[in-house]
Amino acid sequence: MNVPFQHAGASQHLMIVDCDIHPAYRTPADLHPFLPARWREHMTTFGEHLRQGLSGQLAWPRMMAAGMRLDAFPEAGPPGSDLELMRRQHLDANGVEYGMLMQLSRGGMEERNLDFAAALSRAVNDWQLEEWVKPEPRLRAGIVVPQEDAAFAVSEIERRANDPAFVQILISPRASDPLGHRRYWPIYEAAQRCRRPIALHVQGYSGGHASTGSGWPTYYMQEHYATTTGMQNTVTSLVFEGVFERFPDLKVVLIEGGFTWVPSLCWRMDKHWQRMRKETPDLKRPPSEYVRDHCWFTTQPIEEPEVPAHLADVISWLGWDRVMFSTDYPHWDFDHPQQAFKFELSEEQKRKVFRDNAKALYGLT
Amino acid sequence: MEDYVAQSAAFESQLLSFLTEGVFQKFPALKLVLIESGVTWLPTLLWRTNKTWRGVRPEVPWIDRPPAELLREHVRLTLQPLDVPRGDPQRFARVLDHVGSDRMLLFSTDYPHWHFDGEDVLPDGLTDDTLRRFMIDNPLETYPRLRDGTVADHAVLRDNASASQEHVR
Repeated sequence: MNVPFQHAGASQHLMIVDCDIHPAYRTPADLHPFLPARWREHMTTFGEHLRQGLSGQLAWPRMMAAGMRLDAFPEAGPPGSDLELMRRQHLDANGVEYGMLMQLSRGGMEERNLDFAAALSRAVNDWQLEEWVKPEPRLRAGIVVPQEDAAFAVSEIERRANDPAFVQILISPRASDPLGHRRYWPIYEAAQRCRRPIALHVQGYSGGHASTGSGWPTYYMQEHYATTTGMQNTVTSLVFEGVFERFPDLKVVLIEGGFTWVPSLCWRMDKHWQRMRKETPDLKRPPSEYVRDHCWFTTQPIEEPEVPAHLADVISWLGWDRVMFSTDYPHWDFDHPQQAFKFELSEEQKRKVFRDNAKALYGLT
Repeated sequence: MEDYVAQSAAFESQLLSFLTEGVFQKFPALKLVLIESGVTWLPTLLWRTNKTWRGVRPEVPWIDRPPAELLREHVRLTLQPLDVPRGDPQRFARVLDHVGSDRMLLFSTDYPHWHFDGEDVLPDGLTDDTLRRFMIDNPLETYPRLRDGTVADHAVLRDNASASQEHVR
């Protein structure tokens, strides 16, 4: 971020797919037109009832303008709420051919009242369609579903299954239980049936469990890092619970949780699996093979080794076909497509990371 | 197995806790040894804490230099269970390059536990110098009492023994 990009213009001629863009409501009332009167009234009267005590505020200070790019505030409303500004500042300026919407708030993933969660999920999906994808065809929605209510989640996935505006299924990587648990399997079965990847964007409060295995962090710097360990534990759970063995066509995208830990985690899982495999007889192959076949990773916030080329080592171990560029617009730790990588990628590597991997995964032409 | 794999994530979280709470500033001579959860997860932690710190340092102003520098100075890790695949001598060399120091790693076996790695405990492709670092120099620097001879020096042990015998008499 502080190091000048040595190869300015490296990707200027390449249209990109941005795998992490955050739209926002101008106000929560933006959802009202998409909610039945009963739930509109509930939202106005009671508000949300989340799995943490700090409803309506961030649990850790985000630094820099409540976690937003200071230049991304429109004249009215929060960053991400003004499509015109998003077009001008990001989609047009950075040559975004497709952008993946990550709508994390008020989608029901953290809501404890599951009937309200279902209504929110449906409303947020309609809102993405009407307010974003229809007016701006470069954008693609994710089917946001409350993972704690698998039966409803399946019905909502099926409801959107024939709509090409929805390219993936969003659930929280900080669910009430590790995501390999079978209570979540109906969602994976539906995802496989509807040929949509499961998208796990860092967020949430783990059903009230601490965000690290060692307890609650004091500082945002710790919480920011906990996204990485959380994603490791999520992948480990999916692998050892046999999710990929059971759902051989399931694809999982891990968003904003880093990716340089992946080879190390795979080596560790393989090592222990060779010794302890009798504990998980359903696994037919080394854990690393399941990760290689089923998992994709987005780049932002990209790692910045002291020696930039070290990142190339890691991606070569992970697979150049499994890393997809993302910006996190309009958040404070946004990665610019021309500045994210501090070493020179080959033309083929650029095409894969900035565009082709995502197009292939999401079936975009 | 899931739990055993996750031990390194617990180490990562604890390192963030030591860092952000300012433990290394309060106790500048403190050494921290992380035992039995591999080493290849370390580069990600060094890179990520350096970068995140640049963005959030007003929150933790007592961290007065790049976190990777602090960690390289204060933290040591034991090798076993070694989390590098066999058959590629270059692989571990690359990881060690990413760690950016050959001073952090210590030889260990886990004897007599059942996941003892026997003769398979060392990574492929180590140079003699690095081997000596892991097996002798780094442990002696981490546990200076060993080097000072207060424990291992036979003369000291003999003197202690005869002193205690005299005490008995």
